[in-house]
Amino acid sequence: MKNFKQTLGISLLLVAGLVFVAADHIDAPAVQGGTSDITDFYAFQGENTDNMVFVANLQGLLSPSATASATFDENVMIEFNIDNTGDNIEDLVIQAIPRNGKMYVIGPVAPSSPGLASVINANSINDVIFVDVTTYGSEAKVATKNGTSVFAGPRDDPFFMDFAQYSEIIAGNASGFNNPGSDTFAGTNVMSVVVEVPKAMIGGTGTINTWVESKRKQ
Amino acid sequence: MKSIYSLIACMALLLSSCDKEPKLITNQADYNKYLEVVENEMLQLAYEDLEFWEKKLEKDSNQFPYLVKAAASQTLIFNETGNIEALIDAEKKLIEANTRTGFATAAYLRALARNYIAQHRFKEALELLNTAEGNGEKLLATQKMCFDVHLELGNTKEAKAYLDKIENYKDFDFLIRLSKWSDHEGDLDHAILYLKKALEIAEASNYKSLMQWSYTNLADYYGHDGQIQNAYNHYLKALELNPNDAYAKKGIAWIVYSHERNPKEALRILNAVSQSHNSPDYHLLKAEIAEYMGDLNAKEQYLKAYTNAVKRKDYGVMYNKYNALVYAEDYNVPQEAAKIALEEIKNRPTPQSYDLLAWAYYNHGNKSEALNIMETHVVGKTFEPDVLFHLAKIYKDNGKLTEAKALKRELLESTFELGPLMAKKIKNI
Amino acid sequence: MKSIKLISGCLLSALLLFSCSTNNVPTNGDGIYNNPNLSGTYMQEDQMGRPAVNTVFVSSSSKDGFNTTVPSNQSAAFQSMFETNLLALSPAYANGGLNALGQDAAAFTGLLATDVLNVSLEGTTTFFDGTNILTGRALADDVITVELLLIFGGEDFSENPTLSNDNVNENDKPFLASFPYLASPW
Repeated sequence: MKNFKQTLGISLLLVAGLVFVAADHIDAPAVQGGTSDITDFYAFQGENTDNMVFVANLQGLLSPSATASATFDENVMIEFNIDNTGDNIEDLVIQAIPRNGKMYVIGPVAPSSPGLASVINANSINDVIFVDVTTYGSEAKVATKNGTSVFAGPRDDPFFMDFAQYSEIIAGNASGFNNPGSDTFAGTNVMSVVVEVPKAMIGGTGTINTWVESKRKQ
Repeated sequence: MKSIYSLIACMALLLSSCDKEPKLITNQADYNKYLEVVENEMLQLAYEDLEFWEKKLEKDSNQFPYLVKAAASQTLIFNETGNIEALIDAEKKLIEANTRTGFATAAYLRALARNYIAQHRFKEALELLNTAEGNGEKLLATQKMCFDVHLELGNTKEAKAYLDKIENYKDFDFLIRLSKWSDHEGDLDHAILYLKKALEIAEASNYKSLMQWSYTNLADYYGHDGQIQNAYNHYLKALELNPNDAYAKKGIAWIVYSHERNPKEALRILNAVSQSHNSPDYHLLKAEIAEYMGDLNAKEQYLKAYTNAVKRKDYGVMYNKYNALVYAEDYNVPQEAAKIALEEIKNRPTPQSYDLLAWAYYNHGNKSEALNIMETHVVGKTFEPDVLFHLAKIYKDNGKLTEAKALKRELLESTFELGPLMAKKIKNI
Repeated sequence: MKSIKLISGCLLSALLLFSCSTNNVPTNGDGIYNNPNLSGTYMQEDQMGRPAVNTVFVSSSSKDGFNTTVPSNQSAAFQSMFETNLLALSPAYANGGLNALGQDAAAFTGLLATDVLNVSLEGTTTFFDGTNILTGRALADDVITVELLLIFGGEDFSENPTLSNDNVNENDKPFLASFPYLASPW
């Protein structure tokens, strides 16, 4: 969980909300941007311990009914960044771009240049793995190629925390947590991108520094 | 064979050149399927979503994020049904969420501001946005909304300043506002151009709600520009994405009525829409169509239904503009119209609000004061055809015939937007 | 007229044939520059390394800036703000107090201000499991309690006990042993 953007509860429903005003015009739709909010990031060793798993979650606090209509913003790239030289500058990236209901995944590959702007780092379809975005209520669709597996679609939100009580403490309205606490994220879903790669592709040994970015097509 | 084609072509030419029999654009086969009452899937999901969060709140009332989620569902329900209670309930929840967070969460402040914009409570929206701007999180999102509200309030200079701050020609949010600004400045060509650019981004994002919004708004602009076929096509595109899009259906009804002069069919469409979307606007539109059909009895019924509907306290100031017009023109109570207009001016001192006051004076027989208000607050400050129509009438009755004639020429280009009743009146200017 | 139809019919079948062949043998560029076109420049809007860091330590007015500062520049730009916010939040660092990692406020925020996840490629990956610390982030890790302990718990995790555990210790649905690991949606 990053900055609890998902707990803010600004859902896509609201993004979608076009307020029908009693006037001769419709209001502007809610300002965009929620679709690129990263709610969470995980990196852990895979079931096959030679592999590393990266997880990015977006669009938190989705109720089951909201999940059914949730989609990825196809202008937004999710980019996992990997630094394996200890300078906190990415040496490798894994790029995931949704298009026409599929998630296209490229990498790990050296970025043409590190930093805030990214371009696709692939020469042909051979460098790309793609998978259908799993629809709500159906079995997880997984694509595997050259030892790399990818998944994209709705999942249970793995995050757990009593966010409301934490906020009360920060706001000075409470002096401590409740026991038992209440998991704000219980029963809710997120939109996930999961990529598993052989450790050999990202350095093999030692420690990496990793983070995830969302980037909008210009 | 060939001769039949040329005959048809000739007839089409004749028809399109003839003022009273405009070219048919709509076709029941295109839209009838959207008029049948089918289950509104999006609405059903919104109700389920609301129920989900309300159950969680019952169990765990201190989880305030659920309030904002429930409010979002209620906003959607209001959009889909026109049910004002949903919007007011959403307001209550958003106020509570903001109270719990000490009005210090920018996203919550923006959500409540959006609710106030829908209720036409622009000054309160601006206060919240100013707080959100000070908070600074997602600053651009706040500044985009500041533009919207300043424009509604008639603060043109401030609106332009915010527009400059959010400039990014690759950003949907900026482009739709630049489009709105262009329209505000009377530059419809650029309004259309920028909205088309925004639509490209919406289509690339594959976000249906954004595409739907873009299609209907572009359709409106096309209508204003006299590109009726384009307008129709874009309303249909919106309906393809959401068969329950009441706004798009209303747009088609307007084409059928205003362009094709087929009031009966327009009424049929509107009656179908108002079965599932409950907004007072429909009564007014039906009243106008009834008047055009010469059915004054029906007109009176529709007007009564309208005034009954907007009596609800929940509507607040949302229908002030229409109330002022109805009181001035149909009910012939210009004093009441003036009272509402003055309230509107207090809420937002825009040229449109002053126009309402001038129109009340004019209908009260005080044409010189009407002219005075127009010249001080309206002339040269707005390009909206309904305002310009009032101005032309006021010019004419004050003996300013040159000005009136100049406006008449302009207004004749806006007859689609103004409708056949007004079109007739324009010809008499 | 008829011949035009014929030609377009031919074109159509040619297109169909073409699309068949591309399915079998990917042409250089397909799926990147066309069908679909993924090319273009993508500009950063958001980023995340460690959980909750942004929320707790970045002031509202700096969040936009933090989200678009590359990690290698974050410490220089934001460490002092992190330290100020940590000291305002937690009494555990007052008067030379340390956390369980033996860090004072400056050292701890020096680590956090570079918002990346440190992940070991050799063995256990966990935020904290009692033995390993900051070697990754697994799904079941109670990261919030770990962070609360580091913020409020002092040298031995015993200080400010009501603040150092939110008492939500696990997810509400079991995770999967295999890819994609996250549980199916509700």
